[in-house]
Amino acid sequence: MSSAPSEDSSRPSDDALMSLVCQGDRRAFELLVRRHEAAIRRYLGRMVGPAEAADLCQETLVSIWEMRSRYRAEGRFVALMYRVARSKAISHLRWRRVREVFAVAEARRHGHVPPTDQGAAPDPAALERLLASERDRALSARVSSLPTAMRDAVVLHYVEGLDYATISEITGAAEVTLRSRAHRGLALLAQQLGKGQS
Amino acid sequence: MIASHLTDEKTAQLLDRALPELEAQQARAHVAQCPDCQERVHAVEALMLQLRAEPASDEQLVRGVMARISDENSASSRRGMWSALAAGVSVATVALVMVRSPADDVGMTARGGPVAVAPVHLKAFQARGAGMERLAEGDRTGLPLKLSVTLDVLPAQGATHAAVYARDAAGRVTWLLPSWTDAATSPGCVALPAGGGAVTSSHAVELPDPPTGTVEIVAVAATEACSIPALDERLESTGDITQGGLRVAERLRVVLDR
Repeated sequence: MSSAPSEDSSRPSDDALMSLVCQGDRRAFELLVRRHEAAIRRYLGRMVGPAEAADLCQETLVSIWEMRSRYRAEGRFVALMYRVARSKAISHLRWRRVREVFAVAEARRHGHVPPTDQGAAPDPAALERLLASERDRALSARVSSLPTAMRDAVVLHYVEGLDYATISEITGAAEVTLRSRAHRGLALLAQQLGKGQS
Repeated sequence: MIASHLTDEKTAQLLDRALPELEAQQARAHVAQCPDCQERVHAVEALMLQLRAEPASDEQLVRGVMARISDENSASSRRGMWSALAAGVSVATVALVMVRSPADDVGMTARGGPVAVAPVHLKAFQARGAGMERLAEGDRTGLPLKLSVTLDVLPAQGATHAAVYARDAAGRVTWLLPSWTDAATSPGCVALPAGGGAVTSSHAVELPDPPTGTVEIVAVAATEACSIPALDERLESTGDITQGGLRVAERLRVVLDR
């Protein structure tokens, strides 16, 4: 398993592009964005759910642009990218809990529960979109049921294909710990899979 | 060939090529002969393939990023807004109580009672641990801890807003009772009901390593709306919400023991 998405020798490396980005080259940055945005979005989708992944992906890429002057060309762009995306995901999960708590408190304060869609006529287009994304959401829900640290290890290793040394660089956790979390996390997913099929 | 079925964890190790060579050979030999284990391995491999499916490129996202990086001042102006919102938050009294209770069936629990004489106080709370059994196996990953908090409001000393947060032994903060005064961007303190009353919140907190330790629960009272991000920023930068003139209404310290 490689430590980064495979590089095509005929195209400029991430480091080469970042060297140009450091000089303010937006065209080079756009190449980086096009190269990595789908992978970042996939990672964020597994961490926080597909509905919010695009917004967080945009925040991640803008943050990378804003910190470009501090980048050192040491072949660590992918680690930096996931480190920033992970930070966005964790922050988002934290604020999601805040919003959930607020929704309960606010409903109680006003003596009612938030309105639901019950009784409303279904929108065919919306229904179509829901059905189309059902499979992906179910997968994300399975991953979301893992504890955050375990989810980190599973997604970065099994989904994003990063080796444990790189994940250690991103998360700060020891490789042996990450390995254990990844195996245990995949085992939990497998158990859920078994329950879902039985 | 090993006789017993592969566990899910062993399956994960096999797929990750993390088993010693001899053990891996035995596991592969077993899988080759065992329909149940073949099904399990194939199911997990299929799941991983689904998870790895990369979404199509998003042209709108690319254009959005490129448009935003042409306006680099936006981030600093947003930070300025949070600082402004934090100004003018006022203060109340401080109380401290430590609670220690015996272990229960899930291995850990803690309860606290009211501390009076405060414009806002935590009437009751309960903390209950789950997943503690994983500790026996040396797994110290996220331990969901359910905290239930009740704010009992006494409309004295002009307190109109409140917030409650929990801070674990590693300094990680989780807001238990905030509000959302600006629908888009600004979660703030809860506006207290005039005349007093109870506001209840239930929230799950994850403890980091080590799983046994102290969780501090702090209620913040204010005479006007304040921004949670600003308070959060202060907690992260100084580790103390009382810095810069901001004070707390009440502080509970919960010692969690197995």
